[in-house]
Amino acid sequence: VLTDLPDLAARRLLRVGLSVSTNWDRDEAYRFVEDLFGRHQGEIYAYLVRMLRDPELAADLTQDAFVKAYRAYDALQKPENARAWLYQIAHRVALDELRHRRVVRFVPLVGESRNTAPSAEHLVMEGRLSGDLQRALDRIPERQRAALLLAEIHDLTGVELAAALGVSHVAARALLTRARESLRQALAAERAAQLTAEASRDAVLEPGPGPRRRLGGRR
Amino acid sequence: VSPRPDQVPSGEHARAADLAALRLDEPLMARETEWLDRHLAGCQDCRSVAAEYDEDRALLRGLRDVTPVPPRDLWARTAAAIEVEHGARRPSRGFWRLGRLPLAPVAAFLVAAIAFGAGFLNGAFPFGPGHGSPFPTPIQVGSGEVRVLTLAADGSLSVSSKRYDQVCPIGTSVCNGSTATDGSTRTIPLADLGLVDAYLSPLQDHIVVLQKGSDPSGVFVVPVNPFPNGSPSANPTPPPGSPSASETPSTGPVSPTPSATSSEQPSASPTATPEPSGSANAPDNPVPSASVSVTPQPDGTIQIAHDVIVVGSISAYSSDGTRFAFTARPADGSTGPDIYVWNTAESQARPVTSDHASLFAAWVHNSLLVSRVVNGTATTTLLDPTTGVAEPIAAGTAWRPAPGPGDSTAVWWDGTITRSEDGFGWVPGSGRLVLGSWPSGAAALQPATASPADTPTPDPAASPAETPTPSPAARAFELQTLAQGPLREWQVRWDPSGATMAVWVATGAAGAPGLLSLYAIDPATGAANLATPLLSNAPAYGGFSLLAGRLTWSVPTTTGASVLDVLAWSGTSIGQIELTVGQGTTLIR
Repeated sequence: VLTDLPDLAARRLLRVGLSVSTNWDRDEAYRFVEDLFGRHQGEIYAYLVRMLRDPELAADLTQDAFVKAYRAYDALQKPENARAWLYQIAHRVALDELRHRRVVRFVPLVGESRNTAPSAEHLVMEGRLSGDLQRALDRIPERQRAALLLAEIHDLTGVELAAALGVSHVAARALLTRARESLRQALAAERAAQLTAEASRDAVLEPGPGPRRRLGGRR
Repeated sequence: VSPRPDQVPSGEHARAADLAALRLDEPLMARETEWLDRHLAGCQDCRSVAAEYDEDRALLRGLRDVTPVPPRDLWARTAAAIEVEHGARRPSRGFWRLGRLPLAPVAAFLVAAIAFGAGFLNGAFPFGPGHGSPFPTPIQVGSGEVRVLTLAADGSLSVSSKRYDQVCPIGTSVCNGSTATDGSTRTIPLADLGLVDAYLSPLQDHIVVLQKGSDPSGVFVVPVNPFPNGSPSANPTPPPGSPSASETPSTGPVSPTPSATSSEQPSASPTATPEPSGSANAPDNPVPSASVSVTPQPDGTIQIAHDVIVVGSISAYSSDGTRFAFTARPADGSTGPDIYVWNTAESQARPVTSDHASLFAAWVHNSLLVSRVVNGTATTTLLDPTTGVAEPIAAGTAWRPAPGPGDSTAVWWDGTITRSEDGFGWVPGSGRLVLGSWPSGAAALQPATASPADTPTPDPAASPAETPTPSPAARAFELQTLAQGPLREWQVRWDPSGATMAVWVATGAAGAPGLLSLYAIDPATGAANLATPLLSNAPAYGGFSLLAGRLTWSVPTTTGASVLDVLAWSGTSIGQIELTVGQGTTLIR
């Protein structure tokens, strides 16, 4: 009897063996995803916010990720891998969104009815991320950015990182190493650009002939 | 040549950089560690690179300090989207037709479920001065009070209230000075009833609590202020369990042929004439009523029906508050649903239909709109619960109509209905929930002298499992689609002034959240302004409350906490407030 088997994965494998995998228990899937949501919604949402820098879009995509998890419930072989599996789904959702932006230019998903004023949280995030680091993160390849965020902020282990990125452990490690180097260079470039910009601004604000002079001291 | 920090390392320096990065993620082998240390000792730039990796990591980890918080309604949105898929795929009887339906309505509903993003309040609220612009905070719209039924940790139930003096601007849940205080709390002598619906009487003197679900359940009446003598009934009856009187013989118009099953069409005439409640003239009827008399609890709480299964979520008080109607069927599955009416002067509810296939739709003054399927045709009649006389009405082809103020408009189901999963009732199939005006205004709800020619003819090609629900032919304005089917259930309410109408629709399993919308009503035509809903598809459990200037609903949360949202308006001010009322709380509407 399927329900006598304590392990969800075992039951699912047995179902596959019985060739009834297309008839999975949707109530069970719902409860499973509901439980997953309760455990991981915060980190999945945070990951998508950090990847996309748009809280509202991240909320939409978090919802999308969990709906996909519901659809793909049967594909999860081991419930203990659910977290990495969920990150993998969210990661793909994020990459799809970013690729879509590249192809069609970004158009807000929502209409005029949605409040477009930035939330306080958004402002905080922007404030925290608006410096060199965010610009540097924006400059590096998305998969590398994802690897850094997942490893350094979301504390995914090496195995989890590989699962979330959909690559082997060795490939994930190599990706992360490349990502660190990419970020280092991007930060260096950002700081150099900032120094250049500050230097040119100082030059513009120097008192001298021409209209700009008034910036220095209007009576 | 060692690399500058902004240059790509190469050769041994590249290897050193790789290892310096790699060691942040996992321990290096001893041989690698030894090599790296030796290399770094002799390469200043490589030491800088390694130090930058460390700094960058610290920078990244600093982002942990800012943790984005998901929107509170995120689970509701996700659950609604899943429910749509869940329902669409569920191979159950109630939804079996969906596989052959066009997907557009389902997709549209899914889009709606996904679309109610961070704010589901439309900015076009007509009562506000700025059409969605922020208001000064806090907003004075008059105080309000919400009554709730709360399940305590020890399993006891209590009736409590929450008061608020002012509300916050739209889009916020907290504003300076906004307060919500706990009012009175009174434990009532009822244990955990599971999923319930609760209705406050128009006179605010008692609350009807309906147990829901598929298990045998009951309907209770709880006095808001305990009856001083312990009984609201002039004729208290022996306590339950007493062999001689725990169950009374049927006093209601129960059918002598209690054999209706899911596969049978209802056999009783829609013009069945049940006896007035209280009369016991069923000498040929051996079937006990589903209602029994019970002794009121010390505070006056009584059980007006037990061993029944409440059907659907459409229940209501009559306009004068003296009667309460609901649909239920015996828990033993012996028959299908009938409509029960509780007279507030009595101690039990009594069935007022006897065909075991009737569904309560609405009150029209002191009469009931009763929907049933007769010979394959969905029919709504007007039933006088006192005389038991049911008469056809001109609007009799509308399925489960909910008349609006003035009775000239109504919301009804326009499409087909199918057998419910339990086989006893009917649920919406394909079609839509519409708002329309009756062909002859309020007269449409007056008893009509229908000739046989006026009676809709059953479609001979129609499957016995599905029945068309034709709509009235002529209308003052085009039918307005409020929701596309299939739906599990819906609830519609107008505020007392008729200025707004709230619609809740649900597609998922019983007890799952649905979507709540609020529309402004054109006072001239009665049409709803669907273009700019005042509240659009807010996740909500059924059982919302719409009073003058107040819409209150229960918000699904992931934590299990019960949260009530109140949308309040007065004059040119509008605002909202969120009330946390603890777990296991039901809004008393």
